[in-house]
Amino acid sequence: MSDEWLRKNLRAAGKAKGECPGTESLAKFLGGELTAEDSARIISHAASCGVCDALLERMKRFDDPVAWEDADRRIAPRFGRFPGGPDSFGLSVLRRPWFAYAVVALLIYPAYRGLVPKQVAKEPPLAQPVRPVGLDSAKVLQLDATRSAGTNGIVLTGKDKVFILSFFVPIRAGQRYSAEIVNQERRVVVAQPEISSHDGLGNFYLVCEHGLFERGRYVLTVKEAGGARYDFRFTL
Amino acid sequence: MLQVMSGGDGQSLTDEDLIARFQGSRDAGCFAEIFRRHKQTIYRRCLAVVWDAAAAEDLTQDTFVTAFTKIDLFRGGAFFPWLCTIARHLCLNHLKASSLARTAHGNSDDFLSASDSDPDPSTADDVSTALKLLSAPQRTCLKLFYMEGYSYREIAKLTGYSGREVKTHLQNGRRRFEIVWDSIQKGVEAP
Repeated sequence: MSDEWLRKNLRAAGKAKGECPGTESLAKFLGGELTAEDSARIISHAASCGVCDALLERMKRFDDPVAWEDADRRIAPRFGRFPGGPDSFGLSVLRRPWFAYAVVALLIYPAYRGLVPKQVAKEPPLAQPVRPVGLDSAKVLQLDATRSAGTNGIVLTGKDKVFILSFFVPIRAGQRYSAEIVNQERRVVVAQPEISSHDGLGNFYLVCEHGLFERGRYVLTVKEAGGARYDFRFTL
Repeated sequence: MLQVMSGGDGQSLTDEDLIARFQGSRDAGCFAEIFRRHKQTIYRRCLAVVWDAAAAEDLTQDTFVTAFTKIDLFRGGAFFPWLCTIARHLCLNHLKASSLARTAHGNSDDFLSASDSDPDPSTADDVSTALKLLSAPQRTCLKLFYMEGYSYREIAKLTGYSGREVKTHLQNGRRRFEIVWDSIQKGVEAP
């Protein structure tokens, strides 16, 4: 399969994508503010548009607590936190007016340095972790409705009594959601008549008992009482 | 109102109560309390998307400035999701502006000349099916590279992956696509 073949046929597959939705529509889609019909239109468009797909994929980090912690761990130590935090310092401060005032203050009142007790601003509480309390060591399978049935590199062993399925659904206010997991023989393995988003924004997790699952492919179906349905495929 | 807010009363109010007060009285203290509560959360979310501390700070400030100026468009309900939608919109604009130097994606000359022939609809369907069976990073990189004609560097900028990760996802994606494609053509389930 040559590069030429891939280029020709992938581009052909993307020809039906039509005009890209605006960023406002994408933002509303991610916030679950669109109707099921409009959401389906965006999902269908993203399936044949590399750019919108990449944008939506990247924007999932906005609602992913694991991504927040990852960014905190890898970027915040180098650049500091949001201005006002105790460890706020980064190159960007050089272009901020308050930085100039701070420099002047330090030059004019050097005697005060060391005399004034250091004020430590109180940090707001960190966001809820994605794992439920007490399941810190449980492995998390991050699922995606438009993705393959991969395991994201997660391998469960006999020691893993439970694992967590983490997924995002564009929820709508006032709607109820249920979840069901079926195996490749279409037998229902888990049925949860009502589930709720742990952050109220559409991020869900399901704690699953490993013993109920054999090796194979599974489909997690999330149904909205209003009619929308989202399928997540995964392999164990 | 400012005295009430600074007296600590504002901390016991919900976001929605604070916004209702702000909409009625334009009391900056109410909005300051909202800012205090959510600035770190919005910042962390923006940072996770843009991977740039300075840009995340700017996006956080822009989010609150936009919320402040468009507060009359808030029609009740939960305030934080509304704030998040503003932040998402700004993040998307930032990603588009910083990653998509070209106005219409996929319009580089060699990209257009490579694919002039008419598409076969059944092949296009099979390609779409095969793409769905790739992992998210592989599919995204493959689509951006072949479908949209992006370079490795442009893909890295848009997706947030490193150049090395883009190369790996493309290599593995091509390999996986070939396997999946063969399975589809033979009418068997992809391994």
